[in-house]
Amino acid sequence: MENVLKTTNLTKTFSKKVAVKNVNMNIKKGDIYGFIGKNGAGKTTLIKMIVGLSSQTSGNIELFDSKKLNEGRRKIGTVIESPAFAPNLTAYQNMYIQWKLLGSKDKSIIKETLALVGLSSVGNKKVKKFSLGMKQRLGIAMALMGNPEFLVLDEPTNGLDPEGIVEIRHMLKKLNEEKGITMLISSHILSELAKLATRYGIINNGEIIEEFSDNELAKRCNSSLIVKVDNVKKAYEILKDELKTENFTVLNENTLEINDFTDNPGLVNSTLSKSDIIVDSISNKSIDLEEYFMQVIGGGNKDD
Amino acid sequence: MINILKTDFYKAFRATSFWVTSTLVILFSLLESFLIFWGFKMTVDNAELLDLMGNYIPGFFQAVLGIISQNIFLSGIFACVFATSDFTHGTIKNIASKGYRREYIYASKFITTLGVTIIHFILCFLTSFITAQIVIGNKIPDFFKYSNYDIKNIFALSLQIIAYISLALLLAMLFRSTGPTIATFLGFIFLEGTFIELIDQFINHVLHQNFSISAYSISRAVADSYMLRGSIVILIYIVIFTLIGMYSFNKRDIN
Repeated sequence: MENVLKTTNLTKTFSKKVAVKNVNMNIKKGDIYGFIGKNGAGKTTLIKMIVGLSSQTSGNIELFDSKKLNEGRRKIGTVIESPAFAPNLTAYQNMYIQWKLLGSKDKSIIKETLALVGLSSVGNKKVKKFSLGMKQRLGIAMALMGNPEFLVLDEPTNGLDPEGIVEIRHMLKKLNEEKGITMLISSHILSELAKLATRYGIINNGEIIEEFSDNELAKRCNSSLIVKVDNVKKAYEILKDELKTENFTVLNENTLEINDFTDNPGLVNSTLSKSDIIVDSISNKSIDLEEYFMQVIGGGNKDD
Repeated sequence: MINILKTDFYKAFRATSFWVTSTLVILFSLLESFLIFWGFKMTVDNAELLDLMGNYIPGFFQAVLGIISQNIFLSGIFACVFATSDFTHGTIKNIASKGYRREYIYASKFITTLGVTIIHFILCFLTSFITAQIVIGNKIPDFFKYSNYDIKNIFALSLQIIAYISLALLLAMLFRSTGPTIATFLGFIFLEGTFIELIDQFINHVLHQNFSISAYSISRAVADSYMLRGSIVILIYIVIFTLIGMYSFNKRDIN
């Protein structure tokens, strides 16, 4: 099995509005796929189609390289929009329902999973008395019931405190590394997503506008080199004549911003040094995922 | 399917609505049966009253079927609350995303609510039976004997109850919200007779036709002597309600 999820021209329309348009998404086994988009971009609609809560208008979905979607969906753990429970029941009882629903055999998994998300001490507490963060943890615990091969998490860290966010991130990373669980995570906390995801997809107005790996993101985010020199005029000539680039700007009397050679600052340093230019400092000016996302969807700089 | 059924029964027996409606079934049955059987006892003790009744006292089974039919609305309320609870709590997502066919999810809700209705039926019967034993005992000869007519009536009442439960489930799937579902269900169950009367009056007095639709209503279809026709009418209702409910649940997205 190579592909955990493959969608072909997946489309969903609500009367005249196209919510998801010809989406071709491919998630391979072991991926942690960071799914990014603005509110209303079509993330949740797409996720709902994948897990069977919503039917597609056209296009195909394959799960685990098979078109037998109901079988595939048994292997998926989900938290969509917000985790859902019977509020009058305890955390353990809610877990028990999920355990029964999946027809699992070993009951001890309930307590183990509650412990995994740090809820073992409140297993007998009614869910209606839970805080938002505790509910989120329980939602993840319920998604993990039945040893899923694919986790689909919509805003998994919503409502968690900073410590909880880190814990959940470590837990998801561990599940991915140790159990090989593939994940599709949609989140607005892009800084967190950047620490977890191995591949990304950006959706805007129902269309996937970019897909890239974490390595590609690193390259794309290294946007320029900031070079401080003693003689900007001379450096300007050297860059043009010897490094054959005009892709740079002079920021002030001793600073240049070079948009090339972001992956090879050593070459810039040595070339300038050979021509007796003193390089005071050379640094990568990089943007983060959030800024990159804003650039891609045309929202400008995050500081705007 | 079995897994969904197990979870539905687990949830049903832990739902507040189950305990509240079951308690009310016992209380209402107790009150109604006490009043009815006390009335019977008074009638037997009073020659004038007995004469007024044409020397006829209905048997226990005739009386208890009346009491059960008065309590159908409580089972219906449970069905409305139970079927909509997964939508209001969002837990329907947990079931539907596990690859179960929507028809199975619907069927499981139907079977579970019918199961609870049978429990209500038994509770009502037992409460009335105990009350009758205490109030009447052996005072009326052959009071606890049943006839083929009573068995036919039990069958007819059971069909009627299934029809109301399937209506409650249909409404739950259409509204997916507890308030409107209960309001519409109670409106139907309590006003059905009035509407039938109005329509019959319209047919008789405005259209000048000698025709009654009461034989085609849930509450009165099997109340006349046409048991087979009435049963078919109610079966048709059950099938139509279930098909529309399943279709609605199948075709609409889960939010």
